[in-house]
Amino acid sequence: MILLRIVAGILMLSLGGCVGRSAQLVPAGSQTVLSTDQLEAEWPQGWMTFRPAEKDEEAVKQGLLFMATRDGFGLQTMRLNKRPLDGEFKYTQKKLSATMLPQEVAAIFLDDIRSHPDIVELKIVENGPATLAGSQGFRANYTYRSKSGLLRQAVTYGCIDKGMLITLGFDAPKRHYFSLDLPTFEQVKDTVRWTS
Amino acid sequence: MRHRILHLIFALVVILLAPAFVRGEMQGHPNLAASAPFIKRIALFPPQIEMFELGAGGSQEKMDDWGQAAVVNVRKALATEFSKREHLHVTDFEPDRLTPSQRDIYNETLLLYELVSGAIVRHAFNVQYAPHQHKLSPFFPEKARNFTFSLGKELSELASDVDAYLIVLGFDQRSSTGRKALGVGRTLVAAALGVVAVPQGGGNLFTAALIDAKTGDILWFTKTPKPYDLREPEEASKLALEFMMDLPALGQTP
Amino acid sequence: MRHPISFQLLALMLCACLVEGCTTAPFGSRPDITLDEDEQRLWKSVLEEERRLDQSGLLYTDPIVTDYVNSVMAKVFPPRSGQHSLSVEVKVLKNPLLNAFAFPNGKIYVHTGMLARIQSEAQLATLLGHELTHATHRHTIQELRGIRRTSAALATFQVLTLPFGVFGAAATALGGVGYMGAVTGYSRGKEREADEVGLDLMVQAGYSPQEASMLFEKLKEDLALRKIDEPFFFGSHPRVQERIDSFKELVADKYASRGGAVEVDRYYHIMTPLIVDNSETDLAIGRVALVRRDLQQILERQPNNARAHFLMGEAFHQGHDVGDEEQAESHYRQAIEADPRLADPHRGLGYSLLKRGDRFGGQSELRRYLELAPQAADRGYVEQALKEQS
Repeated sequence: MILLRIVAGILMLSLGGCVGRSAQLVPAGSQTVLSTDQLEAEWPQGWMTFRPAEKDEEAVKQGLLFMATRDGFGLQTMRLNKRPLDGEFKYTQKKLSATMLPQEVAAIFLDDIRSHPDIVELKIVENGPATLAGSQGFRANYTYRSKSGLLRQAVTYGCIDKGMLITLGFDAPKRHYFSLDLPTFEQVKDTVRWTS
Repeated sequence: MRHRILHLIFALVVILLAPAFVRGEMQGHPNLAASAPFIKRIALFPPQIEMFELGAGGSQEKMDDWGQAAVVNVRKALATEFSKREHLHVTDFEPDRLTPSQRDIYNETLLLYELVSGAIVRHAFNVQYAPHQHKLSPFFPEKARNFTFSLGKELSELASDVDAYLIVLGFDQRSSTGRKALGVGRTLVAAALGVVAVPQGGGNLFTAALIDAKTGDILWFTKTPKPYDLREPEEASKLALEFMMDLPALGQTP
Repeated sequence: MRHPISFQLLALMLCACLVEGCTTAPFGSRPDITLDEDEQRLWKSVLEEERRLDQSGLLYTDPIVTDYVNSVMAKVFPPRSGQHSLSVEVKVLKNPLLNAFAFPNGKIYVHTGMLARIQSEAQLATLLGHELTHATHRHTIQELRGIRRTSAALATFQVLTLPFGVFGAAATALGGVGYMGAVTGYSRGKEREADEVGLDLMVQAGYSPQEASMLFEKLKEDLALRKIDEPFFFGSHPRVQERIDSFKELVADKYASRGGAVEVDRYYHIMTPLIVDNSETDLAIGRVALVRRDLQQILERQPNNARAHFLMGEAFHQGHDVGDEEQAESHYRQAIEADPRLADPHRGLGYSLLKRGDRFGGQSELRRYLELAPQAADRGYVEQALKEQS
């Protein structure tokens, strides 16, 4: 009986991939297309892509599909998120609705950042209409100081489609790293598409 | 037989003297070899070293006077080591003499360097975990192959008569007597039970980086986890020596 | 039966108590301030936390507000002539949470969220007296010594004084000492002492003790509108009523028929800009009911406050009740009437009018918005809306 349990345990461990996908951090090859949950995008060579574990509660709540970086996540991060409209934002209590205009979606997205207790001196550089994955949405460009006091800059594209909020964001220290990698981010943005 | 004994003695000598020969780990920018001959003037940023005491109850207290002593010792030790390199002119960088806008750049440089050095330590050195540890390896092979990190060309606004800056960063956690006693007790108990246990002595890491003063590129980076007690001048000298062993020849135009 | 060992233990304990008493007597009871060695280290690390906070961009720097709160503090804790005393200073933090905390060196931080809740100068004096007592009575070092002695480690304190940088752990603006004061709080006994001594200070300064308990009643009402996991002044929710009861008891015991200054008008006159700023933050969080209540109080006193009208308009625009959009439109109009050159209400009114089908009116307001704010970050949306409507 004990032996059976041990064997079952070993099998469970080895079948871990079937029980739930574990987190992955792998180099993107040349123009690697990574798709999940009906969305895909092409990630540039030389970057590392991170996919959270299936059972990562925080990632599921935020709808995190992928993150990518070249030098380390504090130095530049791209992230692709998809979550249901009725999901909660992390810091603002405001809710989205399917009939909202892109600027209203952008306003709530920015309110969530504004409500983050560790973000200070938020300044909106630009906030205007844009398309993402073929849908009308917004592009918000903003700077802020992180907890440590470092000045950072971020650009986020967002849209509502198929009852979901889709966002593709890029965040980096304003000094050196933001302008270095922004062109790459804009290229990735152009490749985001629905698979079905 | 005689050869075997000699080999054994040699092996023993190497093992016993190993700490004297062990170097820290280092990485170099692709342009390091080309830049090195032109680096003659180096400014040392004030070392950023924090020391903490770990208490028996698990608390951690920052010891400012320890950290200040460490900074003084490391500064002196580095100055001594650099003075042995004839082709270099090394000075202490003095933040108090900066203009307000330069001061902002300097402060931002330190904040950015915290992030960059953290990324280097985590991703540019090959740390692989055993499968049973169930941890993602943070190693980025491309960054190790192509070691390119930067603090930005804004650095050029700090001074016009410097070719490179040296930044030393470190933290050190030291156990209090009570905690050490507990640690020893735990180890003994673990040994008695046949279980491997790591005494909770605290962690530490010391890093040094050479930064191109014009481009902000990190030309060279080294780190060591050795538990130097930098409150002691001799220990600071050992740290400085270990850093210098990795530093390539600078300022020697072919 | 005599128990010499027990007697020795008792003597030792007594000595320990006496020594403890000697080394942690409140500041101000002696002419000088002599810090123990561990306390010196604590003050040094506090200076570091202070520096981070000062440079973090979190300070609310309106000089009228900061001068005012410090003037109230000077009444509660007058400088003692001929004696060395704790150097006390009050700083305001931009934070919508209900909180205030003291560093052991006499620096006291109050959140804008807390100041927006207070309704009189006397209530402010109560708060400042309470926080000041944590500093004068050296509660922080006593608490830390207690923590070090127990094997149940203060994981919170340890976790928060993370080593900086090298492993990518960014320094926190609020370090371990501030966190303890602001979030975990002190033991019940120390909080009670702060209530009692603080109350005495505010009464001696000439304020009405009845306002002291009103502060806590008001704060308790407010909690119903807030998130349950928010760290705040009381340290924990179950302790709210306990503190209110103890305060009522203190006032009833010592100051039942005592009167004093309240100063509501002066408080609101000075704090209105801060309350409006704090409302903007609360609006971003989505605390619409709170915002409406705060701004209503402002507008009753200052019916021509354009910014308050605009934010009230935004609060109604985000509502879902019948009539909310009409209320929003009304407040946008009142904001424009009070200050025609304020750009944002024109945008708000423009979108409102477009929503109810008034194309001409909506376009006119949106164009006016772009004229007043040519560099507006959201220019793209407005131009797109105008294009779609033409």
